[in-house]
Amino acid sequence: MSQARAQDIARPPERLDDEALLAQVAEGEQLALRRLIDRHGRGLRLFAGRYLGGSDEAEDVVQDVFISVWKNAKRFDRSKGRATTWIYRIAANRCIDVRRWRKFRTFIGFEEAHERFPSLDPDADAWMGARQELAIVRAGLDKLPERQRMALLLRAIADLDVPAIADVMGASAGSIEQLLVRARRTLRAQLFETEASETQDERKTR
Amino acid sequence: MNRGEFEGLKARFGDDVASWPAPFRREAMLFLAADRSAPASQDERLEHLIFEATIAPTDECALARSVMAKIAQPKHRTLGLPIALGPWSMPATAACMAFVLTVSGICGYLAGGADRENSDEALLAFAVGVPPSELAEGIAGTRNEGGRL
Repeated sequence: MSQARAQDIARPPERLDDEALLAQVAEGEQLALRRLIDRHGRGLRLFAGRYLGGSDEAEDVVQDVFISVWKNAKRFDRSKGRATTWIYRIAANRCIDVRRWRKFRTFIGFEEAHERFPSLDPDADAWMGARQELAIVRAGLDKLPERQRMALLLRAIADLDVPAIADVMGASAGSIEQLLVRARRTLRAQLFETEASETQDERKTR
Repeated sequence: MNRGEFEGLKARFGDDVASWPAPFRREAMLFLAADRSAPASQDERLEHLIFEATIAPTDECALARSVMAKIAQPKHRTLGLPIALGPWSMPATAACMAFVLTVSGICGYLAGGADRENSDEALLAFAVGVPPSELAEGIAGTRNEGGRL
């Protein structure tokens, strides 16, 4: 074992960055994979959950992502991008596959045609409290076109910047900017409509 | 997020909130921003709303257990053979099937091709109204003489 590697392992786990952890995963260290799951499991779960709308499928997707990371960590090239981007790209592709498979099942009649967007948790709405704007945002997200939703979720949950989102989605930075602008505009319009109708209702009651 | 959870994350990922993984960093930012009165930009505010709308309880320990269990499983062997098929196996199988179908088609065409001139000509003759009895004689004659109908 090299001296540098020994120093890496001796460092506290929190201080290792994702790239270093991936390098360890590529060498077959399960502990490094556990740390990656600890760091990104939640983000990927929230992303897949909101994008797919089905909690079971989202769980499976996230598991598949980390199994894929375990198998393909050697392929990660640090010079081509950040580890976070690489991991989220695997997740995004897997989510797209799941949606395509769902559409195919719907087409051949194995699944009902309605879009499935239940809460991530049965009590999630209650858990979020009475904040109506969150409910509007959730509903608005579900109605957005898939690519707009994906771009917005990558921005909001994974905190990726526009070039990183472009890298994940395999698109140009300009087109991602457009997707984000359109998605934000749609959500804002929905929020504004609700606020306006509430104000009208209040005036009527007075 | 409350103060206790924030401190727990600090112990888990270090003091520097900016270096935390994305969802935890966002949650911490939201928690810290609750004390601040300065309004964020419109886009930032919307992103915070989106993030809040997606927040749900997750269990990273259970996820890690499931992933580790799957990794620990022995590799699946195809037909009991001691070879592990890679991601190329599906396209390779499809290509082999296509090759076999093409070769079968060519062989069938070659095997049946010897009489195709006769059958084409018989069809043409039938189309112009030659009776079937004459047609059969004509074909037999052509075969015997090696000539055309």
